[in-house]
Amino acid sequence: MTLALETTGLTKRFGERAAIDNVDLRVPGGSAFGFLGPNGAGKTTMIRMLLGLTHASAGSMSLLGRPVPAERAGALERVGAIVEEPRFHPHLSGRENLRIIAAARGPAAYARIAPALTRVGLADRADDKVKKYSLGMRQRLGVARCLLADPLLLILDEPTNGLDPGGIQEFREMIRAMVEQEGRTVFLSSHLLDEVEKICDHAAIVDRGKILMQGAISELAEGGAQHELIVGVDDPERAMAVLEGCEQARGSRRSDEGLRVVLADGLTSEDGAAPAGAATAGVAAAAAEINAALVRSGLAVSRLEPVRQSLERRFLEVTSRLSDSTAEEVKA
Amino acid sequence: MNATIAVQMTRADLLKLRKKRGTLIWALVLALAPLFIYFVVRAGQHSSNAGRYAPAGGNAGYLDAVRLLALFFGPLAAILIGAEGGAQDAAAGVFRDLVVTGRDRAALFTTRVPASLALCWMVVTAGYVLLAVGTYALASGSPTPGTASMLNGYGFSLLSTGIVCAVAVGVASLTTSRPATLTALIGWHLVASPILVGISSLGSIRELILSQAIGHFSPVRIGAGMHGVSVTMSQGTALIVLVGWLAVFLGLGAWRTRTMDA
Repeated sequence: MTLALETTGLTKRFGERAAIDNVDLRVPGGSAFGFLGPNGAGKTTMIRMLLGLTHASAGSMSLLGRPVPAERAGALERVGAIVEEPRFHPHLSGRENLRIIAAARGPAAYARIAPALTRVGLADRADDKVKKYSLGMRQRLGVARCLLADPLLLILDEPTNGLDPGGIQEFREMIRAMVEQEGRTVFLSSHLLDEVEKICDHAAIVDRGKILMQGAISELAEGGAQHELIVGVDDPERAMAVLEGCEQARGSRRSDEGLRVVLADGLTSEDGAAPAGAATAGVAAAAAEINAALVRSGLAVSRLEPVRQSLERRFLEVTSRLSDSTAEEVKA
Repeated sequence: MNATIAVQMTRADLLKLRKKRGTLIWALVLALAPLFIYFVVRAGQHSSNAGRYAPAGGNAGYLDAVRLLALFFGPLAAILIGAEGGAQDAAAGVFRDLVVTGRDRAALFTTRVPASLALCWMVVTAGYVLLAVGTYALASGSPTPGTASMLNGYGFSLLSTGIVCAVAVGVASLTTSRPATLTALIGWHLVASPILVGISSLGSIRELILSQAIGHFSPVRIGAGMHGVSVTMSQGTALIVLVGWLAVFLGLGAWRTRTMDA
């Protein structure tokens, strides 16, 4: 697997405080990668280091296989980035702002101005002054500015901040198209779990400057979490008694949706690294056994549904654990 | 950075500057309005009492006009433009986007200087055209400067304003603040420099004052007094002072651009 972005032991200190602490990050090429963390987790600091906007205190990093900062200019040739909110010269038009960046990128970038404006849907407003643009239009112009590099890697810092729901949906579609149709890699930082879950294939969860987990979204959502079923039966009390003798069930409780059954351990490995498919198969087999046990006991089963593990739930689990233990102890 | 990219980036910097209408209009006002008012008032005085007041144009008018443009209002226009040229990327928050292109930060700084000079000299040229028109059109038969004098005056105006503009680019790149740069340089030009020149006990230290060093390169006698040349120094010393001002402030501006967190 080719890595579009890689860091080893990357650290940024402000005095005694480590904003980024010994971070090892692996971003697979051709994927949308979410860098997920609460506000103040160190996401923007990380991006600023990657782009050479601020120096790292320790560690190494590479973009598109080139070490940074040693080969920074070469590495950034095919990297586009939006850091925090996209900023422009407000007295210039959208097209003129792109000309400013194209001048620094080189002659080939000029030829990409018109296609980039069309790509983000700003061709009709390209000659309006940027001070007349809405935030959504400025975000799109920011993406157009990235496209001037014909980027293999896009680094986007909280890109949907301030967008309305329609704008967010458009943005998601654009990012997915860039990954799936154009083969670009997108590294996207966000504190919005839903956004990362909907856009990204892979993610890392960061808090207080440390990476807590990283991997495929499905692995992150399921890894280490307990698997549960919602079971609809005609007699919940008797069903709970039946399940006590069922080795696939570790416990059960009543809920608004029905009986909530916690499945026994062993569906995933200890470190949560089992493939998502294996866990899914394990849940299905356990569900079948539980169903059979209930039916054998004369219970009518009306519903049998695995509880979908969300990234949000996983995110809250791992970030809340931080207060109880050190980050090193938290493993996916 | 090859020549093509250097030219592209300089043109991009010039685009940013010339589209900044507020700065451009005020720079033109500073370069043109005082000369216009000077010629109008002097012409009015001459027409009302030709025996007492000399013509607005001619040699006398030319010398006064050169002083106004090259040593007083022209440098103010140059400060406005240089401050904008040096600080505009940081002020707009676009500097980091330029850094993200991978382009060397020294190059990002370097291209600000020719772009600012280009706009500054366009403005000063407009002022000099007005100066030339006033000098000849309002001479009323009095002697007028020759072509060589006119060209020398033009060259001096470009030199004077160009040095001030480049220093302003350096200071603005250092502070990354246009208001701070304008306050510091206009205060220095209008207040501090004349006061320091007038303190004779400072002796040769006054040779370090930029306006005094610039004045030594004037091809026309621009006299002493406020914004004239009051401090005696050799041409060599004056040259060293000019180079020193440029080296210090352009060096500081380049250093800040290379090292600042974007």
